[in-house]
Formats: sequence, C-alpha cells, structure tokens
Amino acid sequence: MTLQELLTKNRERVVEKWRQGIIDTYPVDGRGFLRQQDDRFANPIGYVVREETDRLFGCLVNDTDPEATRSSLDKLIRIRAVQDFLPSEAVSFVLLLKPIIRELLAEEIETHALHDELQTTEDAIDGMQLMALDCYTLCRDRISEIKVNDARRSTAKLIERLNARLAEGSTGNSCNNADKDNDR
Amino acid sequence: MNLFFSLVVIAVLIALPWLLVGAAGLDYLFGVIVPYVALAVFVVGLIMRVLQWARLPVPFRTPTTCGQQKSLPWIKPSRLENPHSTLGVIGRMLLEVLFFRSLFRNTRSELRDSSRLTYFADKWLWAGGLAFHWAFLIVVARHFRFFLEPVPWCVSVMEGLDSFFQVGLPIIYLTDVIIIAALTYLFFRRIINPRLRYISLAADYFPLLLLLGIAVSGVWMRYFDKTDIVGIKELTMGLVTLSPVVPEGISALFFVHLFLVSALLIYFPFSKLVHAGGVFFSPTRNLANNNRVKRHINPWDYPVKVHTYEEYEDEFRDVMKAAEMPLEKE
Amino acid sequence: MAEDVKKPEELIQIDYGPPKRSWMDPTVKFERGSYNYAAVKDNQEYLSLPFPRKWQPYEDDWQLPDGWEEIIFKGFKERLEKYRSLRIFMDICVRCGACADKCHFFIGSGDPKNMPVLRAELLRSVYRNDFTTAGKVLGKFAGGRKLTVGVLKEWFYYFYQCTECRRCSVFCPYGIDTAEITMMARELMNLIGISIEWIGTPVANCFRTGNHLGIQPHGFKDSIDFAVDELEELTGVRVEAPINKKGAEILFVAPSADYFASPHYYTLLGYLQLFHEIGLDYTWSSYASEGGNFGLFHSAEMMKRLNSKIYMEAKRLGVKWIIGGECGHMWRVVHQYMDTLNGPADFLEEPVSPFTGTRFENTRATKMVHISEFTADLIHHNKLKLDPSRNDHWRVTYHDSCNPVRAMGLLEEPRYVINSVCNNFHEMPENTIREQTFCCGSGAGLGTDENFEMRMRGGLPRANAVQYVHDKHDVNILLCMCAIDKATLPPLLEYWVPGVEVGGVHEMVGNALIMKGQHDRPTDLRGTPYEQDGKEGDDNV
Repeated sequence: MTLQELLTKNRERVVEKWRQGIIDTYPVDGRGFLRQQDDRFANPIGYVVREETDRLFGCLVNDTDPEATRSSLDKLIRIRAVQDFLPSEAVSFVLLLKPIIRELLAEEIETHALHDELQTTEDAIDGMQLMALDCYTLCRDRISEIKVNDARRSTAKLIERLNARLAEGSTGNSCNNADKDNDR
Repeated sequence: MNLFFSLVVIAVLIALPWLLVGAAGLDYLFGVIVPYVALAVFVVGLIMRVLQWARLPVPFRTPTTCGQQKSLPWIKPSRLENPHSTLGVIGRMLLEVLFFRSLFRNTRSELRDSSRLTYFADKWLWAGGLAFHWAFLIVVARHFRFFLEPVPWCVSVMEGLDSFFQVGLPIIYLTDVIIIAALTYLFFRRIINPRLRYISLAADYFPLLLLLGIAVSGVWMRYFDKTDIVGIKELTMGLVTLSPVVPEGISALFFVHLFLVSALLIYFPFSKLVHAGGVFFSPTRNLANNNRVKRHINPWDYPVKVHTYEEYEDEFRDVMKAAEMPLEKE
Repeated sequence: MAEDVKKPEELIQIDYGPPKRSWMDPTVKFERGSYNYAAVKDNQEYLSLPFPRKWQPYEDDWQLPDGWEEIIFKGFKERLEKYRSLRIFMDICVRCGACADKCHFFIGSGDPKNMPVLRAELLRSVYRNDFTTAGKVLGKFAGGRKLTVGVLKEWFYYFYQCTECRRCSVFCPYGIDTAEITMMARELMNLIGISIEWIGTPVANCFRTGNHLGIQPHGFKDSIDFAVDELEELTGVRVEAPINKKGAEILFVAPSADYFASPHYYTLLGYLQLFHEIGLDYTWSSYASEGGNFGLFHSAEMMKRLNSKIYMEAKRLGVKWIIGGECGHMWRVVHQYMDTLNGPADFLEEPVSPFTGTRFENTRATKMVHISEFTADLIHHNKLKLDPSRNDHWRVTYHDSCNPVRAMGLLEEPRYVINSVCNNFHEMPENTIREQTFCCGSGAGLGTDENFEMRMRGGLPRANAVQYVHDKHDVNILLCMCAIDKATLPPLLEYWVPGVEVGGVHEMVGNALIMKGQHDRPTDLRGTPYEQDGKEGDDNV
C-alpha cells in the first residue's frame, strides 16, 4: 500500500480532524455554530472550511494543478485575513495537517514502512504553507489597495470637479473639513 | 455553575414540603397558607408589572416590518407581516402569541446536487416551544376540574379530546406526555448546544427545572402514586370557597406538587417568565406601520437646539452671493 | 501587536482548550481594524456635547469624568422611564437563542458576544444589577453585573459593532430589537463623552453646513451644476436643477453622497434626467442638502436637531410636499421618526403626483414620498419612455437595504422599477433578501476605514450571497437604494467578489430613460461605450 492509497482511504477522517482544528482557532463559543450550522448562507465560514479543506486535501494527495490549491487556500485565507488573527495564526492551519496525519495513521505508516513517502508529503505540506503565506500577503495588499480606492471613491466627484474648475481657473471651490488627523 | 445553582434550589424546594409535611405535620402551612400567599404574590406582582409597563410612554412608533408596506394601490401590501391597521396588528399579535410566527421564520437553505438550492425549515425550537406552551395551557385548564363544582362541560370535552388516543388505564393524557417531552427537549437543548450553554443563566435553567418538577410530580401522582383524589378536591374546593380544610391522608407528593406550583407563582412576576405579558407590549410588534399616515405623538418631546436657516445664511451669505444663490437678506 | 511575540513553537500550536470563562467577565482587546476612533474634541464642543476630550479606545485610560458610573446610572434610569421599548426589552428576553446566528457580525466573526442576545445582555446584566430586586440581592446568580470600566469598554466595542439593521428583531418571538438597545447604549455612552469620530464629524458637518462632508453652499451648487454639465455631454440634453427656489411644488432631498461620491453620482444623474423629462417643478436645497441623518446613530436628540432642517426648509421655500432620494437610514428617520420629532407638517399639502394624479395616501401626514414610490407610479401609468435594453450590459441583482425594508416595508416598489428598466434581474437566495436581508456591515456610523477588517467580516454574509448569483447567473452589478451601501459595498465586493459593481436603481432608470431631444448617447451614465462593452451588445438597437 502506498501512502497515497492510505490517505485516500482515510480521507474523511483526516479532513474531519483538520476541520476541527481549524474551527478550534475560533473563539470557543462560536465553534458549535461554525460546526453545526450547514447552511451555506447562514454560515459562510463553516461552509468554506468544510468545502475547501476537502478540496485542499484532494490537491495534496493527487498532486493536482497548483492553481486549484491556490484557489482553495485563497478562499480560506481571505476570511482569516480580516479576522482577529496574527499573520502566523491566519496561515498556520496548513501545518496542522502534519501531526494529524502522523498521529491518525501512525500504525499503518509503521506497518507499510511509508516513512519516506510521508517525508515527501510533509514537504508538500510545507510547500502549501508557503503558498498560504503568499495568499495572506496578497489579501493584505488587496486590503490596502481597496482602502486607497475607497478613500478616493468617497470624494471622487468632488476631486474631479475641483480639478476641472482649477483648470478653468475658477476660484470658488468647496472645502472638505473631514479632519481625520487622529494620532497613530 | 448556573445549572448547579438551579439544581440545588429545586432540590431544596422539593425537600422542604416532603420532609416538613411528613415529619413536622405542617399540612396547614403547605396546604393553605403557602398557596394563598403565592397566589396573592402572583396576582399583585403581575398586575404591578403590567401596570408599570403600561404607564411607560412609547415615544416613537417603531414596528419591525417584515413584509410589503401599503403604498401604491396596485401593490399588494402584506397585511399581517407589515400591518397598516389595528385589525392587521391584532392579526399579527395573534399569529405571534398563538403560533409563534417569528420563531417559525427560521429557514435554512442547502445546496443539493451541487447547484440546486433547496430550502427547509429549522423548526425544532419553534415546535418545542409551541408544544410546551399549548400543552401547559391545556393542562392548566384541565385542572379546573379541581376548582369547580360541577365540572364545566368544556373541561370535560377537553379531557375527552386530550385522551383521544386512549392507552391503558388510567387514561393517559396526550398533553402530559407532550409537556414533559417538550420541557426535556428545551432543557437539554440548553445543555448540549454550546452556544446556548454559553448564554444561559441560572434564571434560564431554573424555570425549566421547576416546570419539569411540577409536571413530573403531577404525572407521578396521577399514574403511579394514585393519590386520594377525593381528599385533594376537598382541599382545593376549600381553597376556592375560602373555607380551607386539610383532609387527612393526602400524600406528601401532593404537597410537593402544590409547593412547586406556589414557587412558580411567586417566581413568575419577577423573572423572565413575564414575557407572557410583556409580549403584548412589544413596540416592534404591537404597532401599525402607518407612520406616514398618522402622526405619532411623543409625550415627553422637548425643544432642542437647531441650526436655523437664518444662522446658516448669516454664516455663508458672502459665498452664496458670489455663487448667485437666492438669499433672504441681501 | 508587537507586545505578544511568541516563540516559534508556540506559533504552530493552536489552543484547543476551551477557556472556562463565563461571558460575564469582561474581556475586550482592541485589535487593529476592529474598532472606531474616538470622536474629535472640536466637533464635540461645536455640538455642545458633554465632556469633550482627546482620547482613543486603545488607550488604557479613557479619562472618564468623575462620577461617570452615577451619570450612566441616572441616564439609564431616565431612559427606562421614557422608553417602554427599553424596559420591555430588558425584562422579557428568555435567551432562547433564535437570534444568535442571525447577526452578520456573528456569522462573519464567530465572536459569541456578537450574538444579538449577548450584545443585549451586556446592557441587561447592568440593568439587572442596578434596577431589579433579584439582581440586587443575588448578583451574579441572577445574571447581574456591576458597571466597571471593563464593562464600559465592552459596551463600546460591541455597541459600535452593531449596525442597527434589525435583522435579529425579525426572528425574535417578542420582537426584541437590538437596534433599539444599541441606540440606548450609545446614548448612555454619549453622556460621558464617549462617541466615535465617524459619527461625530458627519453630525457636526451636517449641523453646520447641511451635509456630512461639510460642503458649503457654493460648493453644493457647484456640484449640481457640474452634474448638469456632465449630463449634457452624456445625453445632449440640458436639464434644469434649481436650488433654493421659492415656490417650487416639490422639495427634493437626497443623501449628500449622491453629489460627491461614486457610484452614488450616477444615481444623481438619473434623478436629474427623470425630473427634467417629466417636467417636475422642484427644487434642491443647500441648507437641507442631506437626507441622511447620523444623529440616528448618536441620540434621539441629535437626530431631531439634524432632521429639523427638512421641514423648516420646506416651510421657508413654500413647497407643497417633499420627495426623498435613495437612502437607507434616512428613510428610517423620515418614515418612523420625522413627523413625531419635527411635525406636524400641516403647512404642506397631501402629496399628489402632478403627472398621474395619484394621491400618495400612505404619506398623508408626513408628506414625504420615496423616490421609488414616485417612479414606480410614473412607470405604472406609462409616463416614461424606457428602453431596458440600454441596461443589457448589466446583469443585476438587488440588495434590500436594512432600514427601508425592516422599518418601512419598501420591497416591491424598487423591484418594479428594476424590472421595468433592466432585462436581466436575478434575486439572491431567499434567506438573504427582503425582510431577511443581510446588512452591508457598515451601517450605523461604522462605514469608515480604521475598522476595515470588522466591516469585511460583517459584510461577508452579504458578499457570500452575491458570490452565489455571480457564479450562477454571471451577475455583474449589485443595485441598492442606500448611500451607505453605495459607499461600502464596492470595497466589500472588491475584496470578496471581484468583478461585481455597485449601482443605484435610478442610475438604471437614467440609462433606460429615452429623453426628448437626446443625441445618440453612445455610452451609459458611467461613460462606458455600448458597442465595445457588450456581451449583449448585439441586442442594442
């Protein structure tokens, strides 16, 4: 038996454990809801965790297109990037997979002498972790970008008009005293 | 902790009559004085509570609207979900009070076959709540057998319906089964669901346990203990006719039942159980959405500092003039 | 964040052990992106509000005035006697949990104190401790909690993490309305000078200049004139847009974002086209140039101070009645509060459409008609020449804004208008629209940038439903009738569902409206050319 077969056979168990681990990074009293409520619209976080962990695991086992991996990671991390997590907390759920596989499947790995293959899979998980870091950074970059766009949008017409009037050489223009010069 | 506290209180409430009636012979205290006091506290407490709410002003008309407003004649308004008349409000309140309309709204959707969206209802809480409240009402009504002589025909009819699916002897009332099942569900729901356990206070466990205690002791008396019904009726009729007597031979279990009921009556006006009365006063449900049709008066309205047009023009007259805007004063 | 540096091995450990704390122990960490800045001292002073000072929520010392507990106690007592709603909502909650998973902030964050029931319990626990016998005697066992600085900080954190959207109130068996509770809590905090910048500044600006951004009258006129010029370029028609015109039949009041922000601006163009085309005798006002009312998010008194302008201006200008533009919370104020606060409007006439003769009987007392009621009536009577194919490049869905739905019941009017001017309309899933609509996550004064992450979380349920119609029906624009939506949904969708734009209903009306004397109009109101754009381009005539 290869590790791939072993993982495929135990897919549900491993993914379920992984899911639990991810849900457990949320405040304890919201967890029940995230786990139990299976309505896609009433519980988007739980839905994304459920769908994407399974997909990611598939990517890992079957070594599929990296684009699929990236897309799944992105969905998970896009949510975590705006929740109260440190960057490391936001992405470290990927690494969680290592001890889960090691512990859940310890016996079989021993019996079938799959240590070398396990090493390869763990390397793949590390790779996935790095990819997660990329996703996180991209999300945060996106946020900064959106914030800038947002500020521009809220006074878009004001500025456009100001420029137009300045070009005409008119003096009468409006003032904007939304002073947001708080410290920090 | 909250649960533990409630359990202890309930245990004490059960032990008190059990021990004292048997050992110290305080029949009269538990059979007559406590029930009278409890009833008095209940009636006075509830009236005071309701009066307190009733005399409070409702400064604004703020119904929560859950359907189409009445606007243009060719758009069909939602008369019950967004009532624009008193009749509609009555209908909405009836739906709310009799059938728990808002709780019924809990819907969930699920993606089936990867693309088809199907909806189904998440109605356990609604069903449990409704089952308990209706069963409770019928059980209480059935008890009028003990307080009225002769027993009114409607009580007998109700009993007949309630025991429609007759199994065994004595006749098993459906509502007895339902009330215990519903209370058990509501209780375990609070313990098992982590979210509910988190929000639950002692004041949430206690009434459920108290009601369970009442229901179980009542059922036990009726089906297993075979208490002396004639004696009990003598006692209850005595209470009603204000000539209290405590006949011999009534089991301690009956006193437990009666004491728990007394505890409920006393607890009721000072706890969340007043929702029974409060729901009728809820301004988001009991007002018509006719805001733009009929002016609502705020009884404590007071004048506030406003920024008048004159002050505004005084500040900006020059720039307004330069921009050739019309002015009140040149 | 710098202070909690962890060891590498700690970083990969995830805490499995559930903390045994009860919710009654207040714990708030002011994480960056999850709270709003404090109100600016100058603005507080300008509005003569109590205890103006310079402080920030993330500081340990909030410089609370002496005896602040007593001030809050008295304020609480006063409000319990003035509002039946507050007393009832404090008394009758049974903590059944029906509301728990209905709040967009809870759904998007998983933070249990964002469950409406617990948000209310933050206040209710203090109520029980201070105002009920059981709470005074039994304390914590009766669910009572003393008001401490920790509790106050929790109030600030969670009551400024509620958008007063009333979704929970729809599901509550007693109609307990967290919006009402949040309003009361905010009023109490105002008493000791605690408010947020994004409410304080717009309120001060609005009080002084008539609009949130503080645009002075000549700037306002300039904005409208500019739109008139641009509309002429787009359509070839020069429209009239009178300002402060005495004796006009109708006063038109829109949220100020319509004339300075994007994509609101395209809705403004739509109004201007519509009013011109039907020949409406109306006027704008520079003094009452703001329909929105951030006073609603501050206190009943502030709401009244700002709202007073609309009726005062209607009286000064001598109009017959008023039309209001596309805005959410503005309509909560107009529909549920204005007449009570500043009425009676006995100097106005009962609104009658000059074009269809329809009496707007539903506004007999307040005398203010919603623009979508007005437009739907026009369309129903065939008073407009419309070409919906001019919106064929848009595949639209509609976001019900919280306030017009749950405090008014405006459901079919905008849908009728959309269906008349657009060919591709797809609804989002049923439990995310109409009375169950999900908030944009940025209402009630939270739509600013320092709490950006909080907004993204709060808006996740809405974005998630948009994602669904985007995937399924290729929807590329989310229409709405609310200025806050138009400001805050674009960044939300940019983050969660790139490729979906945000627009107003009257922008679509403007696109579809055939005007007398118009030129070809090769572009839509956004300046997007029709030919190049179209997947559906071939449908265009």
